[in-house]
Amino acid sequence: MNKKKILIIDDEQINLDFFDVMLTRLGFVVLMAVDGEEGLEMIREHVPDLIILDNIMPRLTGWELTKMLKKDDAYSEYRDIPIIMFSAMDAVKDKIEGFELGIDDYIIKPFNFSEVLARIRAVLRNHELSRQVLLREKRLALTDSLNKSLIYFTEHLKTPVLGLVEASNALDTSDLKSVEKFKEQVMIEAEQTLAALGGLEDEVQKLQESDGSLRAAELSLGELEDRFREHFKELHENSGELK
Amino acid sequence: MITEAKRKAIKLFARGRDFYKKRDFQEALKYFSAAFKTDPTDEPSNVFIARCQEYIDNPPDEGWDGVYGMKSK
Repeated sequence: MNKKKILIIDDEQINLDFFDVMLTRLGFVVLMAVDGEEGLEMIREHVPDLIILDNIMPRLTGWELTKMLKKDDAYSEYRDIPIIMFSAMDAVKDKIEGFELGIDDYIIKPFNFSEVLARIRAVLRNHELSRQVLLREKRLALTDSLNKSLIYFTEHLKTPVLGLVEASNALDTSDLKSVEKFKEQVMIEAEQTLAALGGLEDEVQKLQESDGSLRAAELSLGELEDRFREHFKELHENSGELK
Repeated sequence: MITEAKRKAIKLFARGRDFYKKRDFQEALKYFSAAFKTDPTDEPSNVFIARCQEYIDNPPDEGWDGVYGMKSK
């Protein structure tokens, strides 16, 4: 399993160092940036799984960076990366604005590290759950499309086969000409049916391939819980305070 | 804040990422190179130029998910 990458963007080096030590110990890959511009470059270079962002920063503020990630088309690849925002301001208006922009959580400084970890866990888990729902939706759509093709095929197969049965019943085998004609009809119908069957086979194969890769990316809810528990088993030993 | 050159580079970079994720490293390399030429301070473009060159010589495994694996260390 790939380690989750967490990017911390904060202009206070002491916070970066603290998160670096704590989160690395918990099995995350920790990336760090001291301002919004450097943060953006790290995002493009590493595509993190979670961004923890200080609101007040020189150059590009947390708000500005979030706005760019969520709204700017040039950053559309990174739109779904969850964001946790830190702020020293406990202002309801700020929180609401943050959530409206699309951040996933908002934490007021000074914070308790255990609480931050619990929130990181919740955000990562929610994000993984949404991803799993999307995967399952894709699989449902695939099955749906296969069902439609099957219905189409069975409906269109029936008429030519019934036609052949009828022609065969009416066939006068002593008349060479009608036998020839019947043979021709059988050949045409068989060719068409085989072509349709070939198309269906291709579709089944394509569906199976993409279904396989979708399944491979799917996790059961139990596995999901285990995955997150693993990261946080040291939680109690490592809890601490940070300004 | 974000210069015009940087904006252009970021757009080119995003196009490059699309090709990169589809494993079309030759095409991706063109866009990353164009991005780096537009803004020579754009480090991510520089990083992806190097990754493309490496993957053109040594293609990643079938199951590659777009994440660069560090070989050394």
